[in-house]
Amino acid sequence: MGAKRRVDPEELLPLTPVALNILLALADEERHGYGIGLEVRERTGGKMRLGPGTLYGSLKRMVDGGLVEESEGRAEDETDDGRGGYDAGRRRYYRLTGFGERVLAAELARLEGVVRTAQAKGVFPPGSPGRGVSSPGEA
Amino acid sequence: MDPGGRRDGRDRGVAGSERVYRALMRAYPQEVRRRYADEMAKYFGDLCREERLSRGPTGVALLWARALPELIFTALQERAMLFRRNAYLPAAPGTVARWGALCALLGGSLGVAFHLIEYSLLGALGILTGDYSYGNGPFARFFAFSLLLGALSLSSLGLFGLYGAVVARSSEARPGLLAGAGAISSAAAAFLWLTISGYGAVHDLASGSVFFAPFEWLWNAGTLVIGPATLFWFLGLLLLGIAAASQPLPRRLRVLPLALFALIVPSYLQGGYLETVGSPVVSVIVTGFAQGLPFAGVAILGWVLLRDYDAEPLAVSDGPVESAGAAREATRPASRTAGGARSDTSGVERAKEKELLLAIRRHGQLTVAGVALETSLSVEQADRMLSELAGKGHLEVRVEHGTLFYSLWEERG
Repeated sequence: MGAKRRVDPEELLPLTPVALNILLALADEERHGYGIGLEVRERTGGKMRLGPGTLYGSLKRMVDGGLVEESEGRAEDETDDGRGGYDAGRRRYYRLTGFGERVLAAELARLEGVVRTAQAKGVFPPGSPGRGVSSPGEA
Repeated sequence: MDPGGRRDGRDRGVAGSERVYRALMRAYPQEVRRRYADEMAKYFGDLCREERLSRGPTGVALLWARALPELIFTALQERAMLFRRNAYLPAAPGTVARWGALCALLGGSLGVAFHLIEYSLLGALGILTGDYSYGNGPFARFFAFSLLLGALSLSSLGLFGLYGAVVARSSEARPGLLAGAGAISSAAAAFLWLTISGYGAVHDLASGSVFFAPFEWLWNAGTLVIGPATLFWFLGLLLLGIAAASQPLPRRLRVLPLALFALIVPSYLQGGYLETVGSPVVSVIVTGFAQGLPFAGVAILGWVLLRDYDAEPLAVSDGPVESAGAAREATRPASRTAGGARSDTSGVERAKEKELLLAIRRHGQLTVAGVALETSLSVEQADRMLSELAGKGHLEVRVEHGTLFYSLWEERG
């Protein structure tokens, strides 16, 4: 296990919106699949609802790609959140790897660059006077 | 008021949805199901529970409306990825080699049976007795042509056995240009034969022509279909034969396809002329054998593939081997090179190491037992080699639920 990973994080960019949001969901703490889906949905105001196939398909690719790893498993007491209850102890938890953190940082830096470019062109934030961009009413 | 009963009903509904979703998950490849089926079904159950509580049955119905297309799309996506990883095969190359070999064996045998019965037996009987009605009833014709078309379809599919063996043994688990072209050609042949077989059977049964003129239409459309299908079949055999000759397969599998091609093509092309040779009885008997020769070749190829596709091309002096062919290969070099035991051993080690790495590459990741199942290595050998390779940093090791999974670094980046 002493070999170094040879993949450059930049090679994986740009990330898909689903992959980016899953990495963001795992940025602060390890979560199980349902926790990831819930965090993404709440953070995006319900705009991104991850179905099982999308969520676990992405997780599979990220685990295989070394961005995310399964934690050893967290034996939690069975909890009942008032919604029918679920046994968190049987769930598999996921967390970012060091490589995943580097990929996320690289993607965020890339997005920051995009935002800076948009600002320089005056098209961001929305409503700011754009260079060479005029609304129909301004003519 | 029976909140407990209502809640039980809700739970039953959610559990039912979860069960149905779990059943539908068969659309995903086995690898995905093995790793994530429980979690995915559970996740879907959680979503159901949420919708049920917030919006009632309508919410659950809407969830299903979102989940079903998503399931179909992502299942297709996963299967497409698996298909690409398996060098455009629907299953692992070893599995395809095995099933293809069975198709070739069965198709070839059926083809031989058809030609021997149709030409050598019934033809000779007709000439000897002057009664040509043997086997000429409509049902007998329908059966005979179905047999022939089935033999041709299976023989074409059988070439994928050779393709599977070539891919399984290729250095990067990639088919290469020749084998790829051979597979496309074989697929075209199989498609044409299967299409006309299926269409012919359905058409004859539906139109009733099975009662008076079975497969009559086929002879009218024959020049459009039979010629190209046969051409694709021969081309597939030639290309796959050349590809197999350059792979580290057992010698029989490297030589046989090209030898068969060299033998059956002229035999097939000249088959019709044999009818003019010698006495009429001898002529039809020889014609039956000659035209059955390509199918005999396919059956032999299937038989050899079945025995040897997974055999080590080099000597295997320790551990179990999976086929008689491998066992013979194992003993031969050992007795031949008494003085060269050391170099043979390192050659065997290299071959085993390569076999192990290729298996891991094909599957993405494997356990020790998985390696033992997918290769000719024993569990002990697989365990030792995996530990050595991982210890030197050549393989990545992950622990999932207490099980060690080995994978290639570059495959996981």
